Amino acid sequence: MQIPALELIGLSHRYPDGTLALDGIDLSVLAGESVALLGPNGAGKSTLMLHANGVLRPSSGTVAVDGVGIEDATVREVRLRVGLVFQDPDDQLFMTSVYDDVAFGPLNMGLPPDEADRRAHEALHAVGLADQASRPAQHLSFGQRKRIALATVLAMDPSLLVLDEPTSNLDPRARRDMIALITSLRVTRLVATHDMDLAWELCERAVILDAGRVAADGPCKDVLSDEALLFAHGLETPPSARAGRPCAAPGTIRP
Amino acid sequence: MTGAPGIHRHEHEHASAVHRHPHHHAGSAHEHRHGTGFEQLTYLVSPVHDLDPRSKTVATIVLILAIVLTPPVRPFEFALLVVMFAAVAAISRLPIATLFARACVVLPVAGTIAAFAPVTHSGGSLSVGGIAGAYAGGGWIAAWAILSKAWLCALATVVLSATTPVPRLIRGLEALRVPDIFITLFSFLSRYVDIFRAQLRSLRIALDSRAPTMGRLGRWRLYGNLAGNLFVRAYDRGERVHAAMLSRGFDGTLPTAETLRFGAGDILLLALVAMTATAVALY
Amino acid sequence: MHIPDGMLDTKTVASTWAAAVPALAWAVRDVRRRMTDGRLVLMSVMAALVFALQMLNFPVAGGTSGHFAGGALAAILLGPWPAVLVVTAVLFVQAFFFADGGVTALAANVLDMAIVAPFVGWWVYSLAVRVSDTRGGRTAGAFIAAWTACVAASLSAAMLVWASGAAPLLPVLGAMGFWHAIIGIGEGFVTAGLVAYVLAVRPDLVRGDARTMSARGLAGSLGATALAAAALSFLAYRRPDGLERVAAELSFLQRAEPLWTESPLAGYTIPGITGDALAGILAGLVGLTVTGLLTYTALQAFRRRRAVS
Repeated sequence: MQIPALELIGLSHRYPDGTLALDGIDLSVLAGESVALLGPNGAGKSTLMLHANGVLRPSSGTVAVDGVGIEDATVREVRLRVGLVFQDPDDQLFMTSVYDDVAFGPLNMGLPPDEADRRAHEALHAVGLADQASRPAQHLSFGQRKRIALATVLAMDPSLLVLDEPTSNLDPRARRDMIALITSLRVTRLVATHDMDLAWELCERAVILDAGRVAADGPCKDVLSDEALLFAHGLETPPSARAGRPCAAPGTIRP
Repeated sequence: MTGAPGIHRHEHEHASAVHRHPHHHAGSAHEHRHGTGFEQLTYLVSPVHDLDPRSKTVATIVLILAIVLTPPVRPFEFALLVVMFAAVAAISRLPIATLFARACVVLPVAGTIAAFAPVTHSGGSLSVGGIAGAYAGGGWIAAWAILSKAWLCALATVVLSATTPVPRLIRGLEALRVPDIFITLFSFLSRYVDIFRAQLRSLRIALDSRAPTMGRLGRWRLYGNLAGNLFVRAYDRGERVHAAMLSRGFDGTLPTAETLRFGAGDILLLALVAMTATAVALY
Repeated sequence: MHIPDGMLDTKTVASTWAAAVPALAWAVRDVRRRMTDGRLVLMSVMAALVFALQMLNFPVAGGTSGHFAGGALAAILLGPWPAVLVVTAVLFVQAFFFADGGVTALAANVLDMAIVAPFVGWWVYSLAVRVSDTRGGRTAGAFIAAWTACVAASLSAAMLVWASGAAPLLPVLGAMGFWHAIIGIGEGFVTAGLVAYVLAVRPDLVRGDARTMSARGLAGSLGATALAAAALSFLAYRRPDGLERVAAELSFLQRAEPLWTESPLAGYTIPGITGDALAGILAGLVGLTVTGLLTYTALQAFRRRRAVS
């Protein structure tokens, strides 16, 4: 029996003002899977993602990464394994130069400076922005910042990538580049998105979240073709599906 | 020319306002800035740009001290300093006129106080005799002292900020043992001020668009709303940034990456500055 | 209001640093002790916000303008000691990157805008909250706090300029005070508006954290201020010109004439070589080195151009 890369059991989260953001979520992501997390705004996608690396803690239920439950003693280890990429890159690029941002993770991991440097460079090369290393983030275009934000997480060599709206606000070319980039990464991934075409092209499995609950969980091929189901949760069938293009095949990531 | 290990520098051909950039413009201007024209200067490659930020900072402070603590700047000293700054600007491939002009921003403030000086030295009386009379010499010299010193010191900081990108300067301050709380403040300040300014700008445009005929007073009362909006957004952003920091292993202290190294150029700079400062002080 | 270099005399510069450094050290200690990492991040982001808000310009007659400062605002939102650090950081960046305020004058500007303004603003706001802890009371209190802080900071700056002998007391106090009484209105509007907005939308961000002075603190500081004011006015009454005369005697600018021709350090030179001669030698050395560097740079540029073409 394979230990899931991420396992949420009965996860509930209640905000300080009392609203229930997540209501008994059961979700398992196995190593090598590419899972899309879909749902209308306010469904709780971002809240769920913040649980994946222990930034938020459950009001009830458990979260486990590679079989290790998240608690104070294990949370540091968990953050090495789970790479969370935020929707707004400016929240993630907080150092004064892009290089410092990408090196931030490795250095905090306790790696020696030259190893951290090597990792930072590899990550920057992986996203194609090695020549921008010494610039402050605000001098880069939005698409570039999105890619650097991804690099900051890649530098930590995570075993699970959790991406929050990776293609939002990107122009078509930047979006294409981002999809190509994510496809090239051989890491288990959970992608929260409104971009239905992205889900269709990138992910083999789709989970629909609505009002803090899992409304559907199945192969992309089935979930994203079910017009009624999608409509009921504020979504719609991706144009690629309607055009008959093939969905992402399972097993494309071999961890 | 390479900088410290790990940091890539890219060459700029600096010809007036034309810069080559290795990446593509996406087209929408609000997406990002390449930095103001002045900030672009910090990306030039020159021997001075490559110097350790610590030596440049210390050099600037030493010069400013020398200028401020000596009596009114006399022609010889003034000329020496101007020539020295101009030479450094030339070696740094910086436009001298731009730097000189930028230093002039201090003149209005210095000027308003300098205007008092001839008056003060006649014993505080506003009589014409005080401005042009027996004691007037001291007063005009005092006015010159204020203006010339203010301008020269401003020029020193302008040269420093034109030859050192902000992140590197902050790194230099950290290496100079400035308390880490200030380093954190400076870093976040420089990182997020542009975003907030842009947000303020668009809020202001929205306000002006929806109330084109509103008077200044009315608008001022609404600027508080804009500020409040920005504050709440900034607060939420602060929380998200903290979450992002935690996600990448932050445990309370910002890690330092680049190690700074003193070179021959730094020693030369400090020696030059020491000699100039002493010359100014002794003369 | 940022005082540039060269305006304050040596004794004033030294005194301001002597006063500001311990205050800053205390602020650092206090903030480190009380603030969690999360709150430190927030404070730093707030510093960026305060700096950004300084974009708001008030045109005040005749082409000059003031801008929003934010000392009182920072104190109301973060507490006085964090506000000290926030404004100090902004002043530092302004001095080094925008030539807005001098480097040697940084301590003086810190005293005015990073210490006097936040504490005065915080004090007034605390008083107002004690009088009326309602949304209206807090908003009005924020307005008065910001206005008072603005005026107080400008008067402190004026005092420092006067103490340097650069300007006569009453005119500079009057000028600074007058203009900042007007600028303070804009500062008041923005501060009060922000507080009102946040109280309506996210009141949890303004209340809490004991960000207002305790009753005992208010009473104590009120008493101390009254005492100080009484003492000063007594002194002024007894010797109306005394303060000005003292300043004139201490100011070395009065001795400008002879200093124009000889350096006060003339006595501290190597026997046999006068100060002037040594200065000349040093200047010559500097000139030689600089010429050498320029030549080298020019040669490099020439070589590069040849290689390209």
